[in-house]
Amino acid sequence: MNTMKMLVKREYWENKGGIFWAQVIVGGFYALMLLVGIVITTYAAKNGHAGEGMHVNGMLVNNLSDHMSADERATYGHALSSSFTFSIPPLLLVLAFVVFFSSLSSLYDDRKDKSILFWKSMPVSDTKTVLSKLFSILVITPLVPIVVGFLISIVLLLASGIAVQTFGVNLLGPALTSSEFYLLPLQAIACLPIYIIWAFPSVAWFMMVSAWAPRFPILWAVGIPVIIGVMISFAAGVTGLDIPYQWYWENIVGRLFGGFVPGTWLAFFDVTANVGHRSGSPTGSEILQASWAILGYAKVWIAVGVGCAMTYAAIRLRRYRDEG
Amino acid sequence: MSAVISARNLTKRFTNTVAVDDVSFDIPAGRIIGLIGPNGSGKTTALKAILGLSTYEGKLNVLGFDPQTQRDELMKEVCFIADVAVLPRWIKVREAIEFVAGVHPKFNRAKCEAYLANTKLKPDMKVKHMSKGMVVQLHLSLVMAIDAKLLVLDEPTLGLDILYRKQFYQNLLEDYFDENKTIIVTTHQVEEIEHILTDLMFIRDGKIVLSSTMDEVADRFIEVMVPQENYATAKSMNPIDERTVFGKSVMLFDGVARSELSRLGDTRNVGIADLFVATMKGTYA
Repeated sequence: MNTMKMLVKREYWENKGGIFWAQVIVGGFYALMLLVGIVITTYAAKNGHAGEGMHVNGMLVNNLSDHMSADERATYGHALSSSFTFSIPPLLLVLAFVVFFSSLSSLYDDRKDKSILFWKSMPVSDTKTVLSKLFSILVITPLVPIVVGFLISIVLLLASGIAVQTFGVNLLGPALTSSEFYLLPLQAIACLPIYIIWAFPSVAWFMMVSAWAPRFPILWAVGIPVIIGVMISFAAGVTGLDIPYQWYWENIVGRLFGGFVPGTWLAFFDVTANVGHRSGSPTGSEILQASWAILGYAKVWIAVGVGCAMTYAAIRLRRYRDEG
Repeated sequence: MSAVISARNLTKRFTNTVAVDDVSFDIPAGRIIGLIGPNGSGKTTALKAILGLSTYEGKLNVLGFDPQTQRDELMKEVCFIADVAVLPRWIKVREAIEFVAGVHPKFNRAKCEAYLANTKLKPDMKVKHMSKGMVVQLHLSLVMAIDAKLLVLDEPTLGLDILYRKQFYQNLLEDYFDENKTIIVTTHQVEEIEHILTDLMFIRDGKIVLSSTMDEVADRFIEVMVPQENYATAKSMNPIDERTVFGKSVMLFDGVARSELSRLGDTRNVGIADLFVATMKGTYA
């Protein structure tokens, strides 16, 4: 098992730019923009526009004074404590890109620069090598945006809490002690297994292509499914036969690329009936429940099966592909 | 005595060529074999088959394993530097050491660090900031610190200056090699490994054209400085090669007794480089 640990560490060394720094830089930049926004609106609210209140996490906070009703206080406190939902989306987008590109390069880069011959001179099986890369992409990489997102949400909470405090309103205490603030990142972690299951077939396809492609794995990985789609759509148009090309675009191409983006599973299955039903805006636990509900669909497991087959193929290719 | 490597009818075909052509040989333990051949003769292809890096036809047994099906077990006992292998550009010296120490049970970290102490490499240096020679130094330091039963070095010293090359081969012989280990080296700088080899193998067009111990080579191939008056006699004894040095003919004989040759002129042992040139005549013709 120690070998596996070392291999995952190796993946982190190689890819810390994508796994870690991309998240930190994008997250940092995003947090900075939000902070500037908070400072500007606070300043505006204090100088002549006081009546308009200020925006906290998308919610207009007006009547900023100690005359706030308990209801208002609770609502604004909620806005503050859910700052995680504001900090996480750009990070998840970055995650989708990082997973996309690191799967593509995972088994290709070392073939290209011939360092594969160094890795292969070590007593490490190709199975372990491929699985360590899969683990790094599907488990380590998605953990980082959740952690970074949580840290940013703390900064946001403190900043907007302090901003509101300058009007004599204390929302910081209630927000920091609300369970929601801590629950949201935990719910995100609880969604991680769904992302792993959802992204696995897409990652496996990209890794398989990356183990095989003579050059430009991106062209093969993206080109093959798209060209097949164009061909069958064209064939359907010309022959007038009832070829299910629409099904293909949705369930193969859409599923393949959607697989990289967290949350897209909600659009593929009829699981969102309860999401945002009661309060109008979706809550963390509603999304979590809907996410886990997709495991009830056979399609999900068929895709996982296909992913396993492609992972096996990637291992075989890694083992036997002749590197001239 | 069981062979470290035993090949029977080893063949490797590519689409248009046969890179290794029905080759059989045995390599016993405790030898340092020089595998010498012109570019494109099949050296690297043969080594890749031995290391389980490519498919092949025929039978191959390396340390009791089949490289094609038992590569994972085999790699615990074997280490190699492939001719085109480079270390990944992103890795730091420190990380490379940690990695090998983490996955290789027979890696001796102290030994590796001792080798590195003789170079200008620093723990936080990245491969992409190293000169070509420094990358090779790092690679060799890592590999030399692994206690493998079989070490395959395919052009290990490319890009190294002569000082380091000499030092490396010296270390290989003195610190690394012992009677339980086998080393296979290929290089174009044959003169530099001549003195450390125990065995010699010439390969040409995918076939082994010479395979013998260095002692046998010394007995079998003899060079004679032939003075003008003995030229015709010497020529009639079918030298396999002839060249002229300072106006004197130097002839190379295969399998003619030294006592007989010494009557023709001064005899001496042939250098591998001259033997190689004589054997490979016409390769590019």
